[in-house]
Amino acid sequence: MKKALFYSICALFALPFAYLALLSLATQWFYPALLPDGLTFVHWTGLHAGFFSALAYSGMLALTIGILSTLAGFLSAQYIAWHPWRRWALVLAYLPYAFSPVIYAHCIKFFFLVSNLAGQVTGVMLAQFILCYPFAFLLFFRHFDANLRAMEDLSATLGASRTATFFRVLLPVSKDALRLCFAQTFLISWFDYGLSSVIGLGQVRTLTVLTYQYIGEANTYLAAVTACMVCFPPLLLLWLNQRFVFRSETLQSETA
Amino acid sequence: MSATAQKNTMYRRPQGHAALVFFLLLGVLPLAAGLVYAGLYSFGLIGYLRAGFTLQYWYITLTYKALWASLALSLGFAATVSAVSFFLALRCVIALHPHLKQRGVRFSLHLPLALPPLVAAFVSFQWLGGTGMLARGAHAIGLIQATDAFPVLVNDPYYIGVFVTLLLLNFPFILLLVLDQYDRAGIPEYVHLAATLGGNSAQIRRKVIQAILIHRVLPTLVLYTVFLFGAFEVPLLLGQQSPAMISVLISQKFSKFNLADVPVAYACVVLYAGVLLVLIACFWRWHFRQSPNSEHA
Repeated sequence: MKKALFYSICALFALPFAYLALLSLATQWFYPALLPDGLTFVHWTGLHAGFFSALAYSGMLALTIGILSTLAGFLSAQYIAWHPWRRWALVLAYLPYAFSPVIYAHCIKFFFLVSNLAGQVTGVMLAQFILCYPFAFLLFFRHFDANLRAMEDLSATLGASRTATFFRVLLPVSKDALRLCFAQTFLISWFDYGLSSVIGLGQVRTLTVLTYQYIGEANTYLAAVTACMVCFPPLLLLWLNQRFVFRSETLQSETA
Repeated sequence: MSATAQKNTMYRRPQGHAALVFFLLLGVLPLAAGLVYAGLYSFGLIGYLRAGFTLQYWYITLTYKALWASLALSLGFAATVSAVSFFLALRCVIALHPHLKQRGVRFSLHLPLALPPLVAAFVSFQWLGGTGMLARGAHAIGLIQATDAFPVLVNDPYYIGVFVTLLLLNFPFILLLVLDQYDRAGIPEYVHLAATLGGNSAQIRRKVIQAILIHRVLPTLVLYTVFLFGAFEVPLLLGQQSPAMISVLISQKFSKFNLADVPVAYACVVLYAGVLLVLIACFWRWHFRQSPNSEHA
């Protein structure tokens, strides 16, 4: 009984994705029908240019933010993790990290308006960066612990230069943390609605902004199509992660 | 002395001042500047309505009942969702620990992490609404005849739709967190020890497993409550206009065409930041109580 209940809860987590896919393929699905009248690809094939520009904006923003905040977080945390003021830096990083993105956006909107960055892709990119960077910093701050510092010291003792230590010791050891940070910051940017809508002034239409617009217009089928596209990259990342974890576990057990 | 050794004596670790300045400029300054701007605006010192220092906007804010209702609702809601998620996760981990280790189950627990709050709210709207899938199911089995006979679960005064959505979104995350701590803390060894010393299953559950896990998960749970406190997309789509959750209320204040509302909105932002600071201070208190000598916990 317990097991059945638990597996049904697991199925419940997969249900939203199945429902969205079915809704995006439905010809008509009115109350009280439990299933759509028929299936069609017309909502997918009839997508207009606005959808593809939103997809491009979201993809470009998420990739850029993922790469930039991961690099900035890694490089700055590497030095600040052992700075005399590290505890203050850590405390200060928590506030932007915990602040609601939409309230943050309203707070800083004035500066974006006077610098002509509001309503521009570069403005949304900068706003998302200053939201994601403290997150990346916090993630790497914990990564650069005493063990990693000892490893860095050992590499220096053995005669490696700072560049060699960075590229041949720190980067390989931090591969998993870098991958995790990129995935997380990519998703923060990809999922963002509040910041993009406020700083973008409705002119930078990302996929989430477009989804909200379709929901507001009660355009259920197109909202389902964009929602499917919003969910696709994270699902792909999850699947890749699952595959990777499984492979590494298998390799470990084989070599053990 | 060889060239490599000479180079090695030159190995100097940078002090990190440049990195700290970079971090302060891009990580901290934007929010600090935004809060200073909000503070000055709320005191009537800058902005379109500036007329010298005044406390009238703060008076309006502090006597604005909807704001206090919104703060209480957001805090209560965040704490309730976190607490319910945690206790459900605790029960699941204690009762179903071996099943949770299966690959398929672990993968399905990760699925809600791929669902953005906006899409989750949309799906909930489609399922819990008056003509949603649950109402259709109820109609199909003859429970209701018309849509108005179905209970209001979306935009309802009790925030049922918001609660269900946030719970389903957050529960798997908390479950994974509890599961991770269960493995890291070496709970099975403690359970064996307690059983050897004569503890019964209820005592072991309450005084060993639950006690250890609460102690280990509490800082993250506080931080999670802080995130839920600022939830926006789900209450925007599924909540009510009044009382609204704090992010929605502040957003509404900024979006209105009434210019006199803008200084009040900025005062609300400062108040929100104050509450957030208190919550983060609580988090730090617990965090350092657990690991007093290290920031690298």
